[in-house]
Amino acid sequence: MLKHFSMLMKHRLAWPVITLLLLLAVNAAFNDGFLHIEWRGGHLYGSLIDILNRAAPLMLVSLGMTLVIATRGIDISVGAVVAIAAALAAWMIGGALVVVDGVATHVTRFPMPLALIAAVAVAALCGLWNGMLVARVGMQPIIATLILMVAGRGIAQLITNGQIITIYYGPYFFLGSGYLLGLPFSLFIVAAVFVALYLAITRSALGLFIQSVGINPEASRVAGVKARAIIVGVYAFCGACAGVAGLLISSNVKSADGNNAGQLIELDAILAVTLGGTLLTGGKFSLVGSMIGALIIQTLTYAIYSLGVPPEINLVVKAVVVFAVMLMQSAEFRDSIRALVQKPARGEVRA
Amino acid sequence: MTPILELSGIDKQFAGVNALRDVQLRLFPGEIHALMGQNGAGKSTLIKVLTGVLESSRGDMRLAGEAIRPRSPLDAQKLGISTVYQEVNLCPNLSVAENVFAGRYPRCGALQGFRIDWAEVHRRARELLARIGLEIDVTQLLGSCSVAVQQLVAIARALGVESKVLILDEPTSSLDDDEVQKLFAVLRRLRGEGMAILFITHFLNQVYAVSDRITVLRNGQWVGEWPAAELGPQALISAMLGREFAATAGAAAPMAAADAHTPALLQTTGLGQTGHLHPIDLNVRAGEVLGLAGLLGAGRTELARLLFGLEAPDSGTLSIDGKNVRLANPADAVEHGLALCPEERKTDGIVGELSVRENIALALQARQGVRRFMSHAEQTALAEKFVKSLGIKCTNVEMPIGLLSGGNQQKAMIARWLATDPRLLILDEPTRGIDVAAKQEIMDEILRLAQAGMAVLFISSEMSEVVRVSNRIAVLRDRRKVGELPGGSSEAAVYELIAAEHEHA
Amino acid sequence: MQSDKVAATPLVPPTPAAATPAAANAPAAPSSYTGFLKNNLREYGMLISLVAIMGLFQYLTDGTLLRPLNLTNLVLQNSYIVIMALGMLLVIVAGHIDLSVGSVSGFIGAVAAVLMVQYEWNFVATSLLCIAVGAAIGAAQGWFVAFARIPSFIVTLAGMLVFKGLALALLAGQSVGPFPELFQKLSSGFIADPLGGETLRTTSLLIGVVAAVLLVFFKVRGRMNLAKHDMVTEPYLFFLLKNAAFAIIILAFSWLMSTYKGLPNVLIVMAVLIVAYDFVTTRTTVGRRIYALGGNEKAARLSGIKTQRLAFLTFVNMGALAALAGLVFAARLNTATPKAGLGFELDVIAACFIGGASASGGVGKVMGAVIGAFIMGVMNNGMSILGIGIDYQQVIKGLVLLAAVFVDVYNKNK
Repeated sequence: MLKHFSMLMKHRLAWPVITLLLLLAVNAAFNDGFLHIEWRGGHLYGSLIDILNRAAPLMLVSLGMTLVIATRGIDISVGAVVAIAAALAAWMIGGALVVVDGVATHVTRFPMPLALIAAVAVAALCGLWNGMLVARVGMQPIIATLILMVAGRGIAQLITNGQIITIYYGPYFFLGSGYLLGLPFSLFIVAAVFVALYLAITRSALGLFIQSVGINPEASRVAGVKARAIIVGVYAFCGACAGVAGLLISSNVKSADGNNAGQLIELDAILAVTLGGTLLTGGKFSLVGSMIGALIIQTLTYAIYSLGVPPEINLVVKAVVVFAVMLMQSAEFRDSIRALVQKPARGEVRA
Repeated sequence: MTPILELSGIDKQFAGVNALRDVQLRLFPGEIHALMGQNGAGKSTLIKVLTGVLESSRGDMRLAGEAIRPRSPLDAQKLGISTVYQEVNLCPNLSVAENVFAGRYPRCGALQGFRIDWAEVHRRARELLARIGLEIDVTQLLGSCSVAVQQLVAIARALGVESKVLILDEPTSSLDDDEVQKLFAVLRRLRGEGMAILFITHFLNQVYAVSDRITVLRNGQWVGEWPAAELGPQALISAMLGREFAATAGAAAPMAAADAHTPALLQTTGLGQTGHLHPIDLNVRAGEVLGLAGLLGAGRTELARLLFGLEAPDSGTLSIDGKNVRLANPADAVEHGLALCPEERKTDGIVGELSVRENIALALQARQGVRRFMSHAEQTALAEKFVKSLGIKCTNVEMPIGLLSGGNQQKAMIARWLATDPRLLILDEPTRGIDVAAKQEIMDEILRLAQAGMAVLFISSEMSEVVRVSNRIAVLRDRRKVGELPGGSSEAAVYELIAAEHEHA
Repeated sequence: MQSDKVAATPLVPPTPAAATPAAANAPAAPSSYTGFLKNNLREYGMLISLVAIMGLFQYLTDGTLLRPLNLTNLVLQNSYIVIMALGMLLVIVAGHIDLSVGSVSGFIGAVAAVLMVQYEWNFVATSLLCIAVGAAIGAAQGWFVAFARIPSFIVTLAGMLVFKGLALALLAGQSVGPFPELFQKLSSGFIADPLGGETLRTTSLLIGVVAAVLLVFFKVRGRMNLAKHDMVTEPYLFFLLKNAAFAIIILAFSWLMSTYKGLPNVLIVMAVLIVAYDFVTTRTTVGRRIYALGGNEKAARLSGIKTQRLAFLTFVNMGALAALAGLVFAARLNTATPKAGLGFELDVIAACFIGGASASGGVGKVMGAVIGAFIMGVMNNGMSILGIGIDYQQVIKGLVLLAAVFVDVYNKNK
């Protein structure tokens, strides 16, 4: 029994899962009915369902971010891309309410499917842009994605003309607030992306190549791996994920705000990825871990709100958690802690 | 005259392995002393001990008669031992003058201790450079100077700290012939001023051009110290390698050489890369083993990298099956049926955290592309096949390759490339770090592959292997090809060819 | 962000080892104009860009840009960028980056507001405390970066969050103000004018004249010094033109300013800081050591430079300057708002890169960052006058940043 337990603990998802369970327990302790799920209004209803729904956009962005980090990169422009996608979709659908024959209906500027495709395509293009800067021009990822982070919000604002576009088109809301088979529709989207990605990673050589490029880019190159193409593709995918997340967010709040949509989602995504066990230095990654990491963050946010802690502290807590995780992952820090804790044996010369 | 620097009884161990055993060295003021030895002889370890990067486990070091024990490069510098590294360790974004004085600026002004006296910095920098015969604009950025000039600046810096001993670690690797001559002029000048210079190189003709005495290391041990005039090149080579060449002809007769009428699979005409390789003509035929022989630094790896698309040539052409090709990256080369098992497996070979299975399958998978994925089962079968045929010792193919011993890692690398079923396989030091039995296995495998029609380019520092397994031997020295010998030639013949060039030089 | 490797291949064709055959005392021939230009293209290019952009906007706004009122606003609105750019430049030269400066300056503004308005502290004590707090924040972040070796962008990204949250919490979501009048003078005050006339703030004009004279004096003396050591590289014509241009600009500027309200206090603060930092980075040991650290950390360490401590100190300095900028910004708005500091870091980083700093460290000049900050400021100001929306402004800013970094990367990979 004990042996099974220690083996289980060694699994790299052990800590993320435990953290999540802990947070759920904390929430349950302070909130009566936290774990309560009932069927109401034709679908499942409860705090847990709420958390899942709200975590969906973050889960998507984290998936994309996982691959980018695995190649030793980073993408801090995802927030801006979320805003761009949301803005584009909202604009294409149009924010006008039209009364026809006494019935308030909505006429879209472009068919909704087109708007959705366009938004994700543009988001993917943004990712492609980042990838080209990193792989072909040779910029450092932080700087390359900083540029889009600066300009991206402006582009989003351009699309919305500086306004917040309110969306009235019913079918659009289904994305972020609708329910299918009792569960939030957004989960299905996340599941679909996750499954597709998982299959791509495990059924094709992508997973192998991405890890290889992240661990030893030079050796991968010598082995004939097309490292550049992999890197460009990974950033493009991250952009696309941010695009879908943008659709979910704007669908949920029924509006597109070029300024605030996706605000700070980049830090949440980086945090989710690192909580899930993927190292910032690249290499092996865990998609499931990132998903759990996103859930942890959402549950943490929920816990903070329900405890009545002011929302500002949310930011502080998150940042502290980032620090803690960073420190744990930093080899130097672990060494210095170890040195502090273990005193050198007598007579041994300290290096 | 007493030596300015004297090392005796130096031992250095790494995890139980003796890197240096009872090594001695004597440096006199006003001499240029060459330190020679093959790869793994202990030269760099000895230098690291001298410069304080490592501390010896045992032994004495004396500078000007006083016992010293430098604990860091800065320490060694303060004691008077300066080093100029092959990769010049200066700051390219600072000016020449600043690099000469980094960390030790002459100060001035009311803010004594803070403000830099630039006029003084520039004046003294120019003085130091003039001492070694270099007159350049000291305010220009170091990065805009050639490597040769950068090295001279590093030397000037050593002068500035009033070193007594100057160590030059492979200083000529990135220099062309003119620059080498200029460097030597500087060294002679410094020698005239009484500086003791330790000069590490593997270029034979340079050793004889400029050094007064030669110390040879082999397998971590001191072999001997001779005045350069008394040690001929053949004697030097045999001291470095550890045996006299047998005058008798070489070992087994080569396998049936490829038909001379077989068209060349791969051919180079004047292929070269400035600063790395002089233009070379070479051809390899299907079914033959072409051995590339030469001492360390002869340019064999550079040639391999050019052939595989890892470097771009500056001159000449490369043709495969008679058609000129341009290989922009290894993926191109793989597409043409080439394979390269690199020399540096740690940096260019293994992907440490991935499993043995993944490492072995990597190149084949890369060639097949992203979509045609080898299933887990297929990869495992592939890996296990090679584990068996090459005798790779691992618990199972899922363990991270980083945990394997060096020799087994090397075998896995060879497996990786054999898996791609190449037409031309380039093996760069495939038997380094492998036990004797395994070496034999690999040699036999190479012969088998050639018989089956694969062309093999075989690079090894173990001359006996090259001689035994090659159908033809191309001999390189100092980055050019000096000749070709038929398979079955004796080792002695190869060394003669290498040494002969020097005598005629 | 740091790179240990020195390029083995030269970036420009190698200079021959023995350049001039003459003895060391022979006067070095002044380089040809084109040769000198090529080497200093970046520097001159920036100056010319600034002038060109100013000219462009002056034209587009029908002369509004250079009106004294607008000039004053320009200076006041962008002073905090310049102040922070001084610190950010050192951080970037050392090979790191600091994304938290916006949030830190907002937080410090909030601290100042709470202390001065709610607890009625003396403004001098508050200001000093605030700068100390800023330095402490910088120290904390610097410790993580320099000693625990965590990538600076992660540390400062997290820092950005922390202080944004703390600022919000401290202000309880409100705007807090107004500040005591003396404190306001920091940002919106102008220097006293004892010699003042009715229409002309003569003191300001006088200061401008003195500054121009001093500039010319020091430059000429510097050139004479160089000539004494035979190290003049700048052709006389360029020297003349460049310094004449500078002197004229200073005179024109102070004239324009003196016809309105004179020189703002914050301008004096900025000028002092700029001169100080320029001095430190070009003429002091500690300044040059930062460049060595950024250029090749290993070599710097081998030269005895305490690289970790140095990197740590650049962050401390950045924190202090961010705090000062926060004070200036809060004083100008006369309130501390939760939104203060939003997006500052991007302007500041962009200013440094436009000014020639390199992402890999070791390269960048204080004057360059200042010019970069002014370019950003003029663009901000000009675009606002023209009524160009914030959206376009951000896109254009992103493009300018892209161009600046592109040039840097292109030069590196050549």
